[in-house]
Amino acid sequence: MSPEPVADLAEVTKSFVGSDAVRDLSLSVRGGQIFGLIGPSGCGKTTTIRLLVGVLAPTKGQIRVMGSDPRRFTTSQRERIGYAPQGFFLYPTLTVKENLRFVASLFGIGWFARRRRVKRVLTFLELWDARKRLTRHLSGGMQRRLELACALVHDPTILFVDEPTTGLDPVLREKIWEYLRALRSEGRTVFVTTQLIDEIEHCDTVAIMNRGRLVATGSPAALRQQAMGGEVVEVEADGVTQDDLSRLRELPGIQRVQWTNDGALRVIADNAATATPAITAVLQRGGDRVAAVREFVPSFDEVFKQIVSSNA
Amino acid sequence: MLKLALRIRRSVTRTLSFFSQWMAEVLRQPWLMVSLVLGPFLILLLFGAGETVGAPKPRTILVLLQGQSQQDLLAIAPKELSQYLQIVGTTASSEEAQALLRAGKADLVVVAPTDPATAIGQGKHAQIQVFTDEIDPVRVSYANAYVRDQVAALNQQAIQKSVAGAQSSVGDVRGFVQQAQNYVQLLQSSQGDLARSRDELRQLRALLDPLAVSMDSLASAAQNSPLLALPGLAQPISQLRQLVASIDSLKGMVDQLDNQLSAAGAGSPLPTPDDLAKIKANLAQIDQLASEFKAVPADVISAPFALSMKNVAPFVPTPIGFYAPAVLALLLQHLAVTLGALSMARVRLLGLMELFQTSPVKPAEVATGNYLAYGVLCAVAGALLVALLVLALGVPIFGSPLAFAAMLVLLIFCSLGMGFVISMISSSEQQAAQIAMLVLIASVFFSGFLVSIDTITWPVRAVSYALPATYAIRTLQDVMLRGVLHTPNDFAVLGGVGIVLFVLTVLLFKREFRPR
Repeated sequence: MSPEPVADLAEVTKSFVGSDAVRDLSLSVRGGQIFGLIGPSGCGKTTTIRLLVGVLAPTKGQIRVMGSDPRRFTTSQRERIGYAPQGFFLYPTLTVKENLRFVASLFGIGWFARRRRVKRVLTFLELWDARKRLTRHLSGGMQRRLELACALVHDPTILFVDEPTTGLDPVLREKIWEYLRALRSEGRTVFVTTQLIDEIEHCDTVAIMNRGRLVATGSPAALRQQAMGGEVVEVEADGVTQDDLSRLRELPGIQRVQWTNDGALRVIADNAATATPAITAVLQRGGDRVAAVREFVPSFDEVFKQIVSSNA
Repeated sequence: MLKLALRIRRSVTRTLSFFSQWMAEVLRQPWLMVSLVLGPFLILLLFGAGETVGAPKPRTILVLLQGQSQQDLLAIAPKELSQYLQIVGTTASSEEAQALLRAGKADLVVVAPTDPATAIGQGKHAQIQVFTDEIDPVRVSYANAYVRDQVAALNQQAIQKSVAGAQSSVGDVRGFVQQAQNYVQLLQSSQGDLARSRDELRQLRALLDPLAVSMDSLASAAQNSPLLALPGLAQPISQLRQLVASIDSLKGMVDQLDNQLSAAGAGSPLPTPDDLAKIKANLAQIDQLASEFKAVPADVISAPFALSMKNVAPFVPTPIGFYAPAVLALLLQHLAVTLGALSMARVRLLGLMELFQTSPVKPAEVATGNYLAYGVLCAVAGALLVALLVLALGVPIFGSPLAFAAMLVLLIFCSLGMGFVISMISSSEQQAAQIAMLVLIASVFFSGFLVSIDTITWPVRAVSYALPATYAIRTLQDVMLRGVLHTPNDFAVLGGVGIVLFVLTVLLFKREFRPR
């Protein structure tokens, strides 16, 4: 993973007719990873991605992508950037192959190279068999893959993809993430937005946005920890007393102990692995009948809700 | 150097991308090209088949009011009018005729004057009243001109009738001269027989009186006629006057002889051979003058000027041939303006602008690529239409094919620029289409397609000069139908305007590409 950031936003604000779509956003995207920008619809994800590719200009703040202001990208810098906007944008009366050739030639790729790359990218995205179909006759999943193909045909090093999985069934969504992971494995940086919270797990780094603001950033695991205040150990036991709880709170590395609504005991620890034996020992010493002590991995929906509510 | 070559190659590739994309779309829709070319061709063909040169005779109701005499030399007869008007009815009621006019049963109502001869005799015009029920100002003007023309023809007919009548009266003179010469012969042979001589003279005198009256009234009418002012008519009128003078002189001579015979005694040698010679000479002069007057053709007197127009144009086309260059220019302008106007609206609609903004393609490359793509399409459509016009309809191209082709290319170049500018300033596809349609409507009225731009006054004429079709129509008509080039500056004007529009298009694309 490249240690150098390929994209940086410093206190960026973008306003439209008086209202801020993005407010004081600061982000750093490192190379060679999948960076996910996640948040509910209308939170400013698309505005952010459009600021990064130079379609929009920030009202305030500074943006650097590959060391340059996106508004002043050189031709060669543009050749290194791939962008798949949200929504279908290609010519409906052209075939898959013709559309892809058109996009490739927009990037200045010559005839021979164009043929080669079109074939390669269509094969990669499993669209080669559909190359002669008019794009208006493609299914939603194929259209999203074709857009991805258009963003990839010129072999970019950094790819910006706006909500590639919206409206797709789980199988197709998984397929799209497979492609994105394959691109990362080739050393490319993938900046992707999604409003599907459970897709956080596909990303190396995630930034969560809400109402135009960045509310959390980090790896999926770090976000979990951040949301819950540490790692969670869930305990199933009978006869747990207030004394047992006090003793658990006194253990080293334990942040807090709490009951859930469904009667389970959750212990928030700095490290679940080291805390689990200590928790078991405390409960057994108290004469409790311990049925199970295990690390609890909260869903990203829960993580998201926790983070958003704590930042509200 | 290699880097520069690579940069140029990539720029060319980016520019040509629009051409390839557009060609792929057009080739997928063969009917698009067919309709673009065959549509206007068929319209032109139908126009040619249906158009008649000149207007048909107006349907006319003739009103002959009570008291009008068809025996009058100057009376208007339906038969005569039917040479110029299609007489659909004759009535004695002007109101009835006007009601039919308002009901659309006729185009004109012509009310004939009641007593034209009396009016003319009193030095007044005999009024022919014409009614029409037309709302089209062009047709009203046409009707005015047409009716004026027909009244002039009626005037001519009236004069011709009068002159013919006079000539016919003069024709009797020769019979008189013949008879008078017989009496003179008898006078000669009756020397000394006073009673017989006086009888012969009285016979001669009796012949002279009605002739003198008839010639006098004819001469008086001619004297008052405005025709006297016309050059060329003075001679026959003067002949008529001489004729009257000769008859008067003869009358005087015969009266004098009669007086002498009354005073003379029997056996006097009256009239003397000298007197008879004078009378004979006078009769010979009357005969000659009458022949000369009769020899003047009545139609020349009634219409001294005859129109002899010669068109020096090298070729007079059929209506199709005449309109073909204008249709070609108008079609190509409309095609280019519409394609240009809808191009960017479509790009915006599809969301392709973001793709262009984030790709290395430059505004100048987008502009050039689109000019090339749409320009080639228009040029192909234009070439096919020209081929159909020339081969199927026989429309000639007398002038330089190079000048012809250059004008078409400049027209397309300029019109595309206009379309792209419309496209960039329009906020939707509908608005762009609407503006393109307005350009077409303006072109129909102001480009010289329907009416000559000479009939359009300044500053409105500026609209004409703002339209590429104006330059193209007049140049194509000259080059195709006359084989000459009267306005070579039109090439420079269209080229200059085209370049300005290209630069404006690039600047507008640049503005569109700018991050917002």
